[in-house]
Amino acid sequence: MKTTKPTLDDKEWEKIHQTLKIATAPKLEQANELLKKTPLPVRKK
Amino acid sequence: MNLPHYTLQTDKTHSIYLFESIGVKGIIQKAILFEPTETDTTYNLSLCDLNPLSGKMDFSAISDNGDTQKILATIYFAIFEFTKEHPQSNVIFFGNSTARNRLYRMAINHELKEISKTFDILGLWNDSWIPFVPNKNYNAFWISRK
Repeated sequence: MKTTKPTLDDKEWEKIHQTLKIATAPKLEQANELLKKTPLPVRKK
Repeated sequence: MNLPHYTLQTDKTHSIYLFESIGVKGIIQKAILFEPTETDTTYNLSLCDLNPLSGKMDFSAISDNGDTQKILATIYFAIFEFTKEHPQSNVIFFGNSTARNRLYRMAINHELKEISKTFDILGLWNDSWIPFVPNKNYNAFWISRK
């Protein structure tokens, strides 16, 4: 697994997170609508 | 699975993954975000390009950088990492076009045997979630660790 350790500080990550949240808000809304319309099947454990 | 993929950089919550796409158009900063939906334990995956001029993210961008397979493999590894850190979670994702969903479907097809060792995959087809099988055109995909 090629995952590097974070090199950005918490403040920078928070800024990226906020920007991403705004950019992806319409898509998240779409996902919520989709899941409301067609709920996922209950998983058997 | 040993697919070529980009190195990921993640935050401490493991919900954001950053990587650089390197291809014919140069280096493009990309971000993958996992956000909780209103459905318990289900997270929505979004892939965004970072526009270097505006500093803004664009999730509808098609960067056409000639490295699609590597980007798709990188998304897979981000899902792998995210669900390792959040084992109770599952992930929904879909493209913003039929063509993009077909691309996702082909990418899953390509590595289905390997992916299926770790994950259950459902596809949204005709208003139903059904187990993923190759060659159906799905509107969305759901992936969860077995």
